[in-house]
Amino acid sequence: MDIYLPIAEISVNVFLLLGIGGGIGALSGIFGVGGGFLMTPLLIFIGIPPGVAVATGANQIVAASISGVLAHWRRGNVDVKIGVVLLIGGLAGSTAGVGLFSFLKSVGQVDLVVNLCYVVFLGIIGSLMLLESIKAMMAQKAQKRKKSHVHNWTHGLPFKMKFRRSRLYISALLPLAVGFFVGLLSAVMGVGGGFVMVPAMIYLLGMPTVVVVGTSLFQIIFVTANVTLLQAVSNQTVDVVLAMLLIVGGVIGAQLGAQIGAKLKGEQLRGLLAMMVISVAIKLLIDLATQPADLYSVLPAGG
Amino acid sequence: MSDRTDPTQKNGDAPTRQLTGRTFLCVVDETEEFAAALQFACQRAKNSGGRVALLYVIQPAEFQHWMAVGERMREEAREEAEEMLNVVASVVQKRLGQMPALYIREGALRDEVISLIEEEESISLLVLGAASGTDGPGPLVSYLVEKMAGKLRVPVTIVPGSLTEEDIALIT
Repeated sequence: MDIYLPIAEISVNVFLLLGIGGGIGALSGIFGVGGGFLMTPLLIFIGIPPGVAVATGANQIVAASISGVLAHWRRGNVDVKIGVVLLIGGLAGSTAGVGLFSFLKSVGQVDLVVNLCYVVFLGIIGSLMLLESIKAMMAQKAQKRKKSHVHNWTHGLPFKMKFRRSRLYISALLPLAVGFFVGLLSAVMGVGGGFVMVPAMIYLLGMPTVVVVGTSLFQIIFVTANVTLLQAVSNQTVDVVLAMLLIVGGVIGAQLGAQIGAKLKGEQLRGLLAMMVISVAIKLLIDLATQPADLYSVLPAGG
Repeated sequence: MSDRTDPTQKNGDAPTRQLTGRTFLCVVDETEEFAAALQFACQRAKNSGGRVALLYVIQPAEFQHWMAVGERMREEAREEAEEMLNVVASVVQKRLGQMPALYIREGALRDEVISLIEEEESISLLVLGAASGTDGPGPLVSYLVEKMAGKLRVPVTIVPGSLTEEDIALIT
């Protein structure tokens, strides 16, 4: 049973899409991630143009993050003040990112850039995760805890602000920059960016870990919402039919995934995730490097 | 639940005077009713020559992509728990003139409370505070009373959070 996706301009089997939505939902349930950085490549694999995959993937993350942030909010684990500063950076970054996306689209390079970004990022992230797992297996708790507040050049920056919940007194430029970079990623890659933002918040900003996850989700909601909106308006690359099907599958999958995830150990989960990330990166790289079957694509005249 | 369930006992093995061996267990949290439960436990222990034990349960952190992040979360949660227990322990020390036994566990609150009572034979009474608000007495109290009260090894005393210090002093 094929369905025609009006924006992606291809016909895809409905059950395949529901399956992908369900599969990604299950993954995000198991791993507790938004799943954007696996969803977008999978959509690309089944033939959805990368531009559409990125823009449509972003609104999936809005939904996932809202359900995630509520639990943290109730426990008081969202630092709203630093979250707003991150958000301001994020909105600027994602707006710039969508602009960049439009430009790349106008020169016809958007698909290549999206693919390349994914290969690079997934490659780095997957390898780092794998390295961490291997290190953990080799030596149990080898290194001692480092000091959490090391004074370095970042403390010389101007515009210092107090963030009470995080017990921080740092330059507002830091969270602005982190937010901007993640916003840019979000717009170009269709991801929430939690996997980059969480370590950045801990190691760069020095935030306490209790508030990190909640605060990052808080920022992600608004940034990905901004991305979806801007992509729809300026690039017309959000496919409603595709998004609906993915969300339906995703809701069901997330329930299943949460149950499976509770049964697996952290180390196993991490190893699995690392392998998945790396294999997706390799598949993307192969697709980029091999010569396509049709060297030339046929476009309608004047288009 | 976790590999860290071993009880951390500090100064708990050195009783300063003749004791009846009665130990009152309080579950530490940030609520108002905990203060009432703690006061009750301290005074009962004082009047009957018993001791106070404190349990703090750390919620297990959710899965993190980065192992270093997950590790750091556990460490910080642990530090916070120790800090909190130290503060409460010094209150007990002041009121009772004796350090309480301290337990830190990681896992689901209700399971850890029950398993600690099962494992530590010295515990003879569980003292819980009940919230006085409209949202019910609190999750642990409702669970223990509704589901578990008949199966526990020790009796449970529930101290209403609405009692004032004077009220509690009178009862105990």
